[in-house]
Amino acid sequence: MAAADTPSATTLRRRDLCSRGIRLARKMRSDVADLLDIYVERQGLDASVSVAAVEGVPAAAAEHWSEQTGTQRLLDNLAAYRAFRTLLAQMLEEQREQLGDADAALGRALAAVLLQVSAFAYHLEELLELESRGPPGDEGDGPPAPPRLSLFEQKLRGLGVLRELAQWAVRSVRDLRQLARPGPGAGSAPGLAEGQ
Amino acid sequence: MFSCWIWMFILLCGSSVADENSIRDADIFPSSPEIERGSTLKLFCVLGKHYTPQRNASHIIWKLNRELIAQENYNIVNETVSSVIIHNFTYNKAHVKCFIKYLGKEQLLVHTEVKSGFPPDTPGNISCIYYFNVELTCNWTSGRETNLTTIYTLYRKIKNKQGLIMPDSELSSCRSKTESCSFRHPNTPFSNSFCFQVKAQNVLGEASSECVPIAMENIEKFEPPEILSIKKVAGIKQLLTVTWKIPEDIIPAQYLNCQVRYRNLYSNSSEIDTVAVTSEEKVVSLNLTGLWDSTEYSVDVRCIGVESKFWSEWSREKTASTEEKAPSEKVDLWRIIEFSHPAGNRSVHLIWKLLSNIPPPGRILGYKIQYFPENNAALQMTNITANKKIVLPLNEEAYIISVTAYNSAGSSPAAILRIPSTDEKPPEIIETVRTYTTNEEMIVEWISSEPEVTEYVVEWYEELETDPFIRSWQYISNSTKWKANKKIFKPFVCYNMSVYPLYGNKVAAPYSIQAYVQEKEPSEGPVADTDVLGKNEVVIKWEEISKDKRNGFITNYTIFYKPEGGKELNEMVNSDVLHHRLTSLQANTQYTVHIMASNRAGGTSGEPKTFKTLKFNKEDIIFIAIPVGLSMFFLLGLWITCILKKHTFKKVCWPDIPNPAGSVAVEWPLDAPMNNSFLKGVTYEDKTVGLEDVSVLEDCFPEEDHEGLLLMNCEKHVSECTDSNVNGVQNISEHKITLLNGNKKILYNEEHEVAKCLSPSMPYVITGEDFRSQMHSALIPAKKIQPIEMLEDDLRETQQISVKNEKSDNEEALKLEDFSEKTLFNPYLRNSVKTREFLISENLPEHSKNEPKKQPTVLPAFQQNAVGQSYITLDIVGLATAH
Repeated sequence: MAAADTPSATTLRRRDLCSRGIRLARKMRSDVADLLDIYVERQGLDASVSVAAVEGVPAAAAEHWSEQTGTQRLLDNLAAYRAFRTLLAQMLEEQREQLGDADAALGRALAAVLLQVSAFAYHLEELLELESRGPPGDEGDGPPAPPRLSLFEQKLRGLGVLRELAQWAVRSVRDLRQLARPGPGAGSAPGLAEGQ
Repeated sequence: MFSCWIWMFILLCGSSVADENSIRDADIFPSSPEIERGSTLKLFCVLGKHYTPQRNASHIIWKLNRELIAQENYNIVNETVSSVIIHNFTYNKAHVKCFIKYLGKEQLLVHTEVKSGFPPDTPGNISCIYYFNVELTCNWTSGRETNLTTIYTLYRKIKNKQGLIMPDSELSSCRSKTESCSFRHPNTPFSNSFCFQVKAQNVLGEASSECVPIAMENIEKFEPPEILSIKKVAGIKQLLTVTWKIPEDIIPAQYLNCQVRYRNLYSNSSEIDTVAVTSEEKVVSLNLTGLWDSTEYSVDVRCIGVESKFWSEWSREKTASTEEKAPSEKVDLWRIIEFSHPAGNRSVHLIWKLLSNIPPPGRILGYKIQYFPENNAALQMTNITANKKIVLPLNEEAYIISVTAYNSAGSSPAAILRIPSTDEKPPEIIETVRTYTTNEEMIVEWISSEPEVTEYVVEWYEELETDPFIRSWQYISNSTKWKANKKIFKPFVCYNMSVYPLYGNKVAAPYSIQAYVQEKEPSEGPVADTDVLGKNEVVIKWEEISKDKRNGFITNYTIFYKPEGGKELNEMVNSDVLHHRLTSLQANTQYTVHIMASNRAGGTSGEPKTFKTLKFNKEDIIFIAIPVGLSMFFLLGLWITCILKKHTFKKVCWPDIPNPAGSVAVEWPLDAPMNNSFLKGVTYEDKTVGLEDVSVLEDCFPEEDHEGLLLMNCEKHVSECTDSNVNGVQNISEHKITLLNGNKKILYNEEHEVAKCLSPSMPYVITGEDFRSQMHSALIPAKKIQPIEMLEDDLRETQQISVKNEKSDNEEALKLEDFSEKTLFNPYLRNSVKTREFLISENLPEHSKNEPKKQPTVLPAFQQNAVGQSYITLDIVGLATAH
C-alpha cells in the first residue's frame, strides 16, 4: 500500500500519523499521570518512594537516542508498549483479585490506560507499515511471568510500571516528533507539538 | 412442541412443590411472558391444594382482559392444572386471568401480563460525541419499536489491520435501554483506532450493527472558551482587542479554529471573525477593526478542533465600547411656546433628541443651551443640562436659541431655533391638512400656499396630554406628506396633529387637526335625562361622554325610546346635538329611553332612563280649571248671599223658639230656690261627700259601660219619646214614686227606665250627691219647670222629707241658691246630655250598698235622683211650653 502512494502522500500520511500519535501519547501521558496519583493513594504508597527497574520493561532512557533511526525508534516503542500492555493487564487482574469491585474507579482508570496503550501499540504498527517494514510478530507472551510476589511487592511493581509508562509517553512524543521531520526516517513535524 | 413439553415438565414439578409448600391459591406459568406478535400463547394455571377435592382444574375458566376465552382453548392437564391457548396474540399488552367458577360464582385466582412485540432491528446511524476528559456518548437508531424490553450494548473496539480487537468486554462496553449510552471519565481513552458497535437484544432475538470506526478527533467537543477581556486601545479609534482563554480539557497538540462574534449594540448587527490557533496557545487575542466610533459591542467566542465537526458552545458575552469622537450631527430641536404670563413673559419649552446618525454620537455627557435676544447678542445666556428638555423664561422679545450635545471628545454642531417676539403675527401658510391611514401607516398631508417653503415640522401629541415635554415632532423636507408607522400611535386615542412651516429660521403659524389612528366603539354611552315632560312629548337631554372614553370621533347620537310593553323606536341626531324632543308619545305612559353614541367603529348605549308622560297637559288643566273656578265662584257668591240674607233664611228655615223664661203660661215661683228641698237635699248629701268631689264620677263612669250604653239607648228612646205628651211626664212621676218604695236594684233600673223617656228635648232631672255642678245645671231648669205638676209634687215630697235637716243646711243652701241664680242666665242645657252620661257612677252602687238604711227616709228622692239625675232642659221646656 505504501508503494502505491506517492512519496509526498507517504510523507503526508506519516505526518498525519505522527501527529495523531503525538496526541495519543500526550493524552496517554496525561492519563497515566492521573492514574499514578490514584494508584499511590489507593494502594497506600508514598509518592516519593523509589522503585527499582521493572523486569521486562525496556528503559525509556537511551544513550544514543538522537542517533537512532526512525524505524528503530518505532520498534523500541512498539516493544515497550506491548510489554506495558501485558503488564497493565496483569496489574488489572491483580487489582481485581485484591480489591474486587470495591475500587472500581482505579480499575476503570487502569483499563482506560490499558486501552490507550493497546491503541497506541496498534498505531505504532501502522507507522511501521508505512516505513515499509511490517511490525515484528507479537508473541503474545510479552515479558516473562513475574515470580510470585508479595502484595506489597505487587504494589511497588505496579508503581514502577506506571512510572516507566509515563516516561515512555514522553519519549514517544519526542520520537514521533522526530519521525515527522523531513528526511528519511525523520520528518519535520508541525510546530504544534514543539512545546513538548 | 419441545418447549411445551419442557413447560409441562416444569409445571408438573412446580405444581407438586406448590401443593406441598405453597400457601397461594393458585399460580400461573409462565409469569409475565413476552411473545412475538401474532404468535400463539400458552399459559398454565395451577390450582392450590386446599381447593381439592371439591374443586379441580375443570372449574378453571380463563379471561383475556375482561373477555372470557372459549372453552375449546382450555386443556385439563391434571386435577389441579389447566392450560389455555391463545392463537394469534396481537395485543401490545394484555392481562390473562385465571378464575375458578364454582356454584355459579367466579373467583379470580391469578393473572399475568402478557406482552407481544418484535425482535429488534439492527441498530444504525451510530454517532458519537467526545467531551474530552468528561464522557464519550454515542447515539443510534433502533429501527422498529419492539414493544418488548430491549437492551442495547455499545461496544468500543480497537480496529487494526488484523481485524477487531475487543480489549475488555466489561470496560469497553456500556448497556442501555434507550438509544444512547455514555462512557464516563476516566473510561474515556483517546484513540484513532476505535470503532463502535451496538447490539440490540430482547427475548425474541438480537441484532448487532457493524463496528463503525470513529476517530476521536472528529467528534471532539470541548467547553466554550472564556473571554478574559475586551479593551479599546488608547488613541486608536474603531478598534477593540478581544482576549480569550482556550479550554484546558482538549485533545492536545491539535489545531483549532476560533470564531469571534461581535455585535454592534447600536445597530444590532453582527459580524464574525475566524482565527486559527493551536491547542498549545492557552490565551489568544484578536483585534477587531473597522468598528464604529463610540459604539458598544458585545463579543463572544467559540472554538472547534480542525478535525472535529462539533463547535463548542459560544462563550459568555462581554461588552465594550470603542473610542469616542465628538457628535457629528446637531440635535433635533423643537420648542413649545406657552403664552401664559402677563407683561409679555412666557415659558419656552425646548425639547430635543439625538439624530440617529451613524456612527452614533457616543455617550453624551450633556447639552449646552445658549440663547440671547435677537437684537442684542451680548445678553447671551448659557444653560447646561443632562436632560433632553429645558424651560426657558423669556420676555416678549424675539430670541435665538442654540443647543449642542457634547461628549468626552467634543461638541456637536449647534441646532438653532428662533423664538418670535410676542407681537409678531406669524403668517398662515398651510391651507389645509388631512390625515388618513393605510394598513401600516399614518399619513398626514397638507397644502401650502407658499411653494418656496420646503421645510416643515409635524408635531403630534395625545389630546389629553398636558405636559408640553411629552410631544413628538419630526422635520420634513421637500415634501408635503408625512408618513409614520402606525405603531408609534396608540390606538383609540385622539391625537392633536400640527404642521408648522419653516422659512429661514422662522416658524410660521401651524395648522392643527385631530386624528385617530384607529377607532373603536365608545367605552360608555351618554346618560339620558328628561326635561320639559309633557303629555305627549318630552325633551331628552344628555351630556357628551368624556374624551378618554370616546375612542373615536362621535358621529351621531341615537335616542331609543320604548313605551312600557310597546315597541322600541329610535331617532338619530347629529353629534353636536345634546338634547332632543320626542313627540307623539302616549299620555300617562311609562317610557324607557337610552342614548347611543356612535363613532365610525360602532356605538355604545348609556344607562336607560325611565319617565312617565303626564296625564294632562297645560291646556287640559286650563279646560278643567275654568269650570271648576266658575263653580267655586258661584258657590262663593251663593254663600255670601246666604250670609247677607241669613236672618231671612233663618226666619224661613229656623224660626225663633220662644224663651220659656219669658213665657206667661206658667208663673215661676220666685222663692223656689230658697225653699227648694231638692237643693237642700243636695246640700245635705254634700256634707258627707264634699262639693269638690265632682271628678269622682269621671273615674267611675268607664266601669259602668253597660250603663253608659243604656244611656245611649236612652238617648234613642228620648228621641222616640220626643213625641210624648204630657202624660209621659206624668209617667215619669209615677215611676219615681214607685222607685221610692222599691229596693235598690229596682230603683236603679227604674231610673233608667225613666231616663229612657227623658230626652234632651224632654224635661228630666238628674241629681246625685257627687254631682253638684251637673245638678246646678239641672236645677235651674228644674226650678223653672214648676208648671209640671209631677215634678212639683216630687219636690214637695222631697222638701217634706228633708225638713229636719233644713236648718243645718241653710248656709249651703244659700250658697247653692246664689249659684242657681247665676245659672238662670243659661236656660238652654243642650249639652247637658253629656253631663247626663256621667250620672252612672261607680259610687252609686256603693252608695246604694252602704247607705240604704241611713238615708232611705232622709233623701229618698235624692237617692233616686242620684241615679237618674233629674234635670230639665229647655228642650223639654219648649215642648212643655208648646203643650
